[in-house]
Amino acid sequence: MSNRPSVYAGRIAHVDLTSGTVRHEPTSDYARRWIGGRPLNTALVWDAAPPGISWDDPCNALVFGAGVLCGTLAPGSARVSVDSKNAFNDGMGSANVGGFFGAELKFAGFDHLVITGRAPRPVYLWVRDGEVEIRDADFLWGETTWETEHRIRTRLSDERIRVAAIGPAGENRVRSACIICDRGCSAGGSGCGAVMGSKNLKAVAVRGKGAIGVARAEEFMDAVYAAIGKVNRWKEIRNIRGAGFYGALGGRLESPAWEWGYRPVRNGQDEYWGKDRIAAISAEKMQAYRKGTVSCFSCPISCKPWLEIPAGEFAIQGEGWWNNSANSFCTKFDNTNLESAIYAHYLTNQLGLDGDDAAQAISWAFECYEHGLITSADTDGLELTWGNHDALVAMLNKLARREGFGDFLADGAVRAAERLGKGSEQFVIAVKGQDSLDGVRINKGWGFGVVLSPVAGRHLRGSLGPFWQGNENPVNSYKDVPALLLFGQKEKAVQDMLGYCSYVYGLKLEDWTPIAAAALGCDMDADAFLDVGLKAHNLEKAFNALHTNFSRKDDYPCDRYYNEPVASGPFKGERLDHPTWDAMLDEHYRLHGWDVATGLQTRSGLTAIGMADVADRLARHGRLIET
Amino acid sequence: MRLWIDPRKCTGCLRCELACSFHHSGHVSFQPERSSLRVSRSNVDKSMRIAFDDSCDGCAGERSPLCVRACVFNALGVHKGVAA
Repeated sequence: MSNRPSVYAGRIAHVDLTSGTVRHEPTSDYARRWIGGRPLNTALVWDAAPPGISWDDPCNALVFGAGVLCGTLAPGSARVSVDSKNAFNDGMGSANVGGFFGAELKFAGFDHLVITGRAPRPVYLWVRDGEVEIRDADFLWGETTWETEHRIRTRLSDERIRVAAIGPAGENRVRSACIICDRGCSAGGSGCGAVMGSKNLKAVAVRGKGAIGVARAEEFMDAVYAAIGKVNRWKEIRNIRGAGFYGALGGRLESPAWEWGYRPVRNGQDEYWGKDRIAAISAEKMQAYRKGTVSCFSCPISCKPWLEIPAGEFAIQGEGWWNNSANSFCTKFDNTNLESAIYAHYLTNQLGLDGDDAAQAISWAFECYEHGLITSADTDGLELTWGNHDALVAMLNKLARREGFGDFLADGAVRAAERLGKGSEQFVIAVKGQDSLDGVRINKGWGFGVVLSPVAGRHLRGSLGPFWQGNENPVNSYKDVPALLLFGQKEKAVQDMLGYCSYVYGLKLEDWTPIAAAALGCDMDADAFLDVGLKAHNLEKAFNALHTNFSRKDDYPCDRYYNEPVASGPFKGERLDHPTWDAMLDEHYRLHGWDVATGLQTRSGLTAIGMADVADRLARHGRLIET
Repeated sequence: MRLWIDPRKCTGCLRCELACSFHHSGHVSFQPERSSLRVSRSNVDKSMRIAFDDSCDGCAGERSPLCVRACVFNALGVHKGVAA
């Protein structure tokens, strides 16, 4: 039998923080069915987390999983999935992070980590050489994610240790808390940082000196270099290398992305921000602060700008800036002060706050303030007026530490509105209980994907592929949306299975699957991978069915998007209407084989895709339609 | 054959380390620990350092140095016209 290394590290570590024990399981137990990455993570959470418990119950499982291609020369294949119960709604929680953690985890001998229980005192995991150790983290608790990485590397005397850490936000179980890797890469959304904090787990430190192999090496390298060739011929590559994504594409003044929608202007009052405001934070303005770009593991794009503000109240430096940063710290608050926004972005990294979710709760509060539902007496003296970037920055600090008004917002806008009342519920932008970044009135397909996403309110379940770079329909068209979204959902699952990044432009799925097949030593083509992707998407949906009471009623956007048209810009007047949305739901459910009346999965639909066991479990809980 | 290094172009992706280890493994696997070159990155100012150790054999047996081929940012290259 060959001792050649495999593309799998080979082990899943099950860590019980209550008992302080670790056991290993072969990755192959799950990989045959789920391949790896996010789909395999979902299966691990499906098996580990009992229905009916809260997200912060020790029995909840927090699962880290490296994409299958992590650790190889496959381009931009660094992504790690982090899956658990969602801190906003107890349903499916999932986040995805780049950087170097995933590759290092595999070199250290593990494909996945399943963390259950709750440690009696703050701990961190030290993962290396096929072993997982639980270590005391008193010297880290209370520190930022940046300081945490530094202290671990110093204590263990190795600057190549990769750290996934929570900051004060996760420690305080703030629902919008995230997990930060490499200082600027975020596993954000679903409150995974809060889940980690609820376990008294401060960080996971990894150092890997082992090898990751590929089954058919020469074929793999040929496919990789064919893909690199395509990337190098992509028309924007020269610009993006050196300027980063925002500098070359997303942030340029003439970028159509400013008009495509999904921009949450003033908490969703509008989806277009106006050229003069855009100019204040555009790529052209950012150039003065950019000192180059940095890459994640094995990435030939280098989308991340390294930004420095050398002096002044917002002096800071760090890596990363994307369209979401512009949305969360600028458009959402009418904030044209770019330095404050850059500062806010890197502050959220240090605090361990997901920028999108944190900003969403705060922008709800700003709109409540605008309408006099709260006053500065409620907000610790802060004036939450549009454009007040000092108040935004102050609120991020309060939020992370649950200080004063920050505590009021720390459980998300849905719960805050329930407490406040006074009609403040109308200003909540959420899907399935999770604060949600995106406007959905202009880009209909993007918005449909956001609302249908099993991971509540995220645009990373099929919105991106078909509806970002566009299809042949106009951006505000409803045409073909249900079918295109279905394809996008499957494709995203394959992407997250293999672990490649959405910013690796220039490639199609058919460029990735030969790389994956050669790595795995199998003969799967794109359709075969998409079949597993479809299963993965259905497993996330089934998780929600088991852990929540979500049904068709939860697949609608908030009322604002029906009642208030886009206020300005090229798509002024766009809004959603119920009959069209209903028709899209009917069609999308039919395409999936789900019950049209309830939106739940059916026995025939799940059986047809080889998930009869999932159907059985749903049936035992009364959450399956027996047709 | 001699290599030149331009750390200013380096983005820290580590593709060079992966490629080097692939060479040393006999085209079997990726293992940065086994690489002859090491890329280090400052968190203070993003500057990169690229250093080779004595285990570099100039990619003996390869058509050209794998680290150079792997780098898409022009941070590594082969000096032309220099005797081996």
